[in-house]
Amino acid sequence: MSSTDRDQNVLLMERLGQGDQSALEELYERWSRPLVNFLYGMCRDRTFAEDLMQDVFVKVWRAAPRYKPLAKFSTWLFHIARNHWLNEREKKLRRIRPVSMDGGGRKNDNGARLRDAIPADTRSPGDLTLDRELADRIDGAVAQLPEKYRDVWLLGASQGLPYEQVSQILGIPVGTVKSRMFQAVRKLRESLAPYAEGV
Amino acid sequence: MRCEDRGPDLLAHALGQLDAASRALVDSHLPQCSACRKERESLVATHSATQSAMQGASSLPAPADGLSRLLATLGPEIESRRSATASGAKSVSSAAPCAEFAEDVVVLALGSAESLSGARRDEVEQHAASCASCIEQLETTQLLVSATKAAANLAPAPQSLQRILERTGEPAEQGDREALPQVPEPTRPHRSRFPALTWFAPLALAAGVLIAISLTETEAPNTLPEAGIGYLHVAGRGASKQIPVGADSGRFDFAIGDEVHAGQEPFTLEVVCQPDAEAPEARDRTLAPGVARLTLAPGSRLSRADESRFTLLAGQVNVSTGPMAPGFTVDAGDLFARAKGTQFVVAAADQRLVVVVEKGVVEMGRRGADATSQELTAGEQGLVTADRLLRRAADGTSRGDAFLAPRAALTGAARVGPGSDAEFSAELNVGLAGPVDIASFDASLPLFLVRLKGPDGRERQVKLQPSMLRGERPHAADEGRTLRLTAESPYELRFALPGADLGPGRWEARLRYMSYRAQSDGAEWLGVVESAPLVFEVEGE
Repeated sequence: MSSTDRDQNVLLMERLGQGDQSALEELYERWSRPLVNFLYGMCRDRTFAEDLMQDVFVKVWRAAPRYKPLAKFSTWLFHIARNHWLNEREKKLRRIRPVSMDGGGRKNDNGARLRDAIPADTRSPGDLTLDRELADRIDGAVAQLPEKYRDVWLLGASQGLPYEQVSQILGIPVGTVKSRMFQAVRKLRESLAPYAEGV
Repeated sequence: MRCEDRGPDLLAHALGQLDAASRALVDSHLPQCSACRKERESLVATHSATQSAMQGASSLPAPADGLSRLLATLGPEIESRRSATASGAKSVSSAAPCAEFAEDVVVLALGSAESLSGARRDEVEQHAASCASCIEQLETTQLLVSATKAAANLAPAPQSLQRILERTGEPAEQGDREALPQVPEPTRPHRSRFPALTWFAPLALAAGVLIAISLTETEAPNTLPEAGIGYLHVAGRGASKQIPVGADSGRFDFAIGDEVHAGQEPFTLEVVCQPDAEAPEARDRTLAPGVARLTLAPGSRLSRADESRFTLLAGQVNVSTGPMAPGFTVDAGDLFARAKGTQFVVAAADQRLVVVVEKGVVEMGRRGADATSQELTAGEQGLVTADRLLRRAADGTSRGDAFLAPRAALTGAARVGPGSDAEFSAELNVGLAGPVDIASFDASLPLFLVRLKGPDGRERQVKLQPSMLRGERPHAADEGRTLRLTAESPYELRFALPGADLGPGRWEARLRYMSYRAQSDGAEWLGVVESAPLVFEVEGE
């Protein structure tokens, strides 16, 4: 993220602290999607992730008057999100189970197994289908990762944050981030190895 | 450092995450070590592929109504803060972070302010008056305190200890018996000079109690969660959270206008639609009259339109109902499926509704200018769209979601000798409303995939290239990228997989293919279909 983007986040937080609704809307536009995906990666439940994301924005709003840009905005934001998930997960009625690699995966988030008409995407239906299937497989493999590896992977790979920032969000040394990212990728490589290209 | 320990550094080096010194070390090592170069390449490939997949097709969008819900939740606070800013009021940002006040705010709520020093009490009260999160904490704590005080103060009955000892057979200690209150002996009944009046008063009291109960008793909640976890979204609450409901949470009210969402697993609930439903002489009754059992597929959403009419907002619901009039209905836009004591599955996506009937009779149709409907009986499935209403025998493998796709039956030898090829054949029959095109999966033109599961439980997927297929092929279109199937010409294809590459043991194979139906204004995507599994044994040497 450029320094301009960083400054923009700080400016938005200042405006938020003064009650500017448009600043809230703009922050939401910028960060709602990364947040809901990050939280989904944590809790594996789309509806719950959306609720958590709402809660995070409420926390951001309420913290705005006393916000100080001591760290990158994204560091602060994901730190809040992760802590909120850790607090809220105890309230769920049952333990979240990983998505089955053979089960519906995300393709079931919308419930339907019927397919749409061929989309306007210029890729072939085959590419789209295989992409979707691969995404389901990867989604399942990520869900199977031990939590400490998954947290690092979600922040560092899925959200594209540098190791330094991941270490600040998770409160662990950079060396630990490096080690856990390697372990996460190694396990994903093992999980996704079975596909063959042909006999 | 040994090469086998370099993994984390190799990945970090590829991602540009190493400090200068570490990067220099890896830079100097890589030219001399092909194993590390290969490992680095492999790690990067996995990282890139998984990152792209997660950031691409499977990335979730933000919820469409998320911003409006957020603004509805924060509305009063936004207005309050804006007003405070406009009037030049001192911003809360001048106060210390709430973490400093949280504990003392609770002390205030408990009514124990005297335990704080005077200055501190003033500081906390001043802060709590203007901080939204502290106001919330104060109010919540006060509510909890009030509720606790209002709870009945139960004391054990005097004879409790005696009863417990009797049940456990434990002899009481002498001291215990002496501690029990003395129960007076019953006195002789007093005979009234007016025996009728003796009974009148208790009867009148009992009648009054019954009348009071009937007037004040509220109906029991109408829905019982049976399995899985769901979320109840109560109508009119706007941006409030959805309430988790599951088998552990007990009955809840699924009122008109409310929505129920399934979580990550199927969610089953039993809904009382008609509390006073009578039981006719039903020939096919699965549940009590007026009751419906609904199983929502993961991620599915259902709202209640009236007592026995529900709207399927997304996904799939398995419905089983007891007899009820005028019938249990599932809507999806103008499309509907209605049952009167039966069991069926209905799935909706965009402008299609598919129904598979397991028991009884289901009426399926559409409303509006081009209204029409048809009855499906057990063992049938139907599809209704804006311009079609189709019906066919149900196929257990398709579960209704590949309604129009061609069906395939995969056959082959049950045992494959050592070193021999595993030979397969499959017949594809076009479904209703053909012709149907089989599309290739990617640019290398595999029209079919074989999904294999080996004795080690791991899965493989084999692309069948055109050169691997034997048998007369139907008309090829689009430079061989598609095959066109018509009702008149089913396609029988044959292919072989080398047994040597499969290895000895038990294998399971499924044939996969994609199809679509060409239309004048585009195409209707029918989806990916798999044949039923074929099990075969590869013999060892």
